[in-house]
Amino acid sequence: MKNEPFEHQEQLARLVAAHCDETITDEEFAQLEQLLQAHPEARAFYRRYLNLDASLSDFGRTETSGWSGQEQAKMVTPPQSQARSLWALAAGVVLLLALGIWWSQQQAPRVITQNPAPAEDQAKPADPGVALLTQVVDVEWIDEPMVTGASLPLGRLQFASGLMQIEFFSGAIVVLEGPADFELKSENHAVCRQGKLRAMVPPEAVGFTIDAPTVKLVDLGTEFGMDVAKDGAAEVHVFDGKVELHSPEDQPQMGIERELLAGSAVRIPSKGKPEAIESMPDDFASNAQLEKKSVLASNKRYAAWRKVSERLKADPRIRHYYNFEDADSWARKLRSHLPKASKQDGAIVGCQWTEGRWPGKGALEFKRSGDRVRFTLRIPKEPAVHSLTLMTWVRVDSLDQRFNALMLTDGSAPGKPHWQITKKGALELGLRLSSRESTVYTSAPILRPGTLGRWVHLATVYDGTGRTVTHYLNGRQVSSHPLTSTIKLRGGQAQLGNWGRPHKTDKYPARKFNGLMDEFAIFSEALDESEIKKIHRVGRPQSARMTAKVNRKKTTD
Amino acid sequence: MLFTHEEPALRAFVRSLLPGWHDVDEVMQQTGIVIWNKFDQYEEGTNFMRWACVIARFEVLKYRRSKARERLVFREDLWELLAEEATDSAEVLQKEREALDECMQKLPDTDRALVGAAYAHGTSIKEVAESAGHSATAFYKKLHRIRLGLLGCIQRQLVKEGT
Repeated sequence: MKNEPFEHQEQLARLVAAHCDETITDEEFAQLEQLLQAHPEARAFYRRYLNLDASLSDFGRTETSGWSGQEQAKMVTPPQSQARSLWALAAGVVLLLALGIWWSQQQAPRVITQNPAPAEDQAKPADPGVALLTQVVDVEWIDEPMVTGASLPLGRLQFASGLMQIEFFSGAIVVLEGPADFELKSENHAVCRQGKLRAMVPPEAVGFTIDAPTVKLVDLGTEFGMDVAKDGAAEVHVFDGKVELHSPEDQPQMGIERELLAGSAVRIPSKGKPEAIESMPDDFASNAQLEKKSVLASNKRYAAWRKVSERLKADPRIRHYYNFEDADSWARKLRSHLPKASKQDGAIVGCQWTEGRWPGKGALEFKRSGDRVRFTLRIPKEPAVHSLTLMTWVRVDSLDQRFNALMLTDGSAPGKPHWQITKKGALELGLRLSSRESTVYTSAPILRPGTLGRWVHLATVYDGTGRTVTHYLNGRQVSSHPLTSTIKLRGGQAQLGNWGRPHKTDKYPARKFNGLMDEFAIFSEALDESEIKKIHRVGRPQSARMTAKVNRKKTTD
Repeated sequence: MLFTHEEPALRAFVRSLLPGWHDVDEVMQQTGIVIWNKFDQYEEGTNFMRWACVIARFEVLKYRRSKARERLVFREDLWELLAEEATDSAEVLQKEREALDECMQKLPDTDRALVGAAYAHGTSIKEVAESAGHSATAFYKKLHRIRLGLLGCIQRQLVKEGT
């Protein structure tokens, strides 16, 4: 019964579950008996379901109690009684907790503004989503933008144009084309107020439901298309299997109840009778097409970035520029892309080459404690440099250390910059003023557990003329600090992703960065917000594969 | 110990023939005792699981007869059929149970907690759900959906492993 669902599958599944949970009525039990008696495939399903039920009960035991010893003893001596009631009690508490989590999830209106876990706590928060966003192509968002890989909480998705793929945790996959107004109601239920979608529903997600303004669609394990116009009129096209159509819950009198089979299509206008129309499978983007579009879009973005990268190389204000391109896995030199190049190349120590923001783009992975890129930070003594802009694209995988290096000069001589991320996820620029005094400019925590694992653009501007230090995340200013004192900036031996020679007295000598880096630039001038925004915009990875893990919240404050 | 190893499979077998966990526990206990007592009759080298199934089946039958007038007991002919087929598919079912591990890993944390709690607590999900102020129906529905998801996952897992 693989691709051909058993015709009474839904009824059977419901009955078997009720039997399993001992909630079955006498009448239902008789129906179950009948189905089982008559259909070998029904018995096969029954067997598999009960087999799962039994293994889950084993799981339940080991999960909530250190059961194993008792389990063996049980075979020879009467078990039950004490042990069982004890862990039944404990399990009750666990269940209440689980129910609490689950119900609060069901009722959460929209969890985009979920409270971040305290930044000190690096444990990943429990994932409260009902679906994953697995492709995003050319989407023009109406509300908060989301990236590929984001987990989608209950709530509304609105976008003006573009395509996206949503994978419900039930197993149903929806490719949705904008303009769309779509709302996730559960892991197997959504509301489509507007938009064009194609849904692929595997047997385990049978019952997948979409509510449109003029129709309620319940899927019976199939592939179908639905197009909901702005005025609510809906078209339903069935490509495979069948679906059930019902009147919308608020207009039960519409009387459109029917089953729709593969190859047929129907149009339900906002007023008037539904009419049969020709089925147009090619009108609805499939996930294969989406995949292709996504690759094309990603190539396009990569090409656009390369163009800007060329321009940056020629920018007179730039002092160091590594774009991590033309990498081959044996290269132990990080090529600098400035005209008077050679002396500015970085020496790669450890660090594996890997893929960056787009397929084909190079990046370095900092994983082991020795991994680093050594280079000489060139800041001329004359004329004195008063301003500096540091900029990089990184994927931070975790913040293990008290300080996690982006670019640190060796030692701690006065005037030498230390650019790093704190354990709490704050961006920090430190400068020693004298042997005893130093000054540190720290943003609020901006890299949260939810931001880890995805590509971000980080920039810090030290503006000696405007007397401010400003930190940026993804082109957006996150904090600005008045300069506490001015000092002549100095260069020297420096490292990307690690720290060379910690000061003897330093309490935190280990500062290794954990993650990937695929672009790094230093300007000897202060870039303004609009310029940083522009550089970020053209470098955004967008739908480049599943580089992202979670993105639930805008990181401001 | 041979039997400890086979016990989950046997439990699953018994489970498919009886309406509730309480019944399963009782029969399993009895079956365990019989297996111990008859262990010298088992022929080394033959299929142990099959042998144990025969014993368990007989115990279920005895138990069933004692409860024959209770509701929710399958008709005898259907019951025979189920027992027969379950014995024959013991190996496939074993594979499915093994594949479950992987699938449990993939389950969202809250779902896993729900499953763990639901099963650990055995029969009184209803009371707990209701004492938490929510309908047991919603809870069962959710549980059912998780189970269907797991079945799908198991199927994919087995296809992937090429079995």
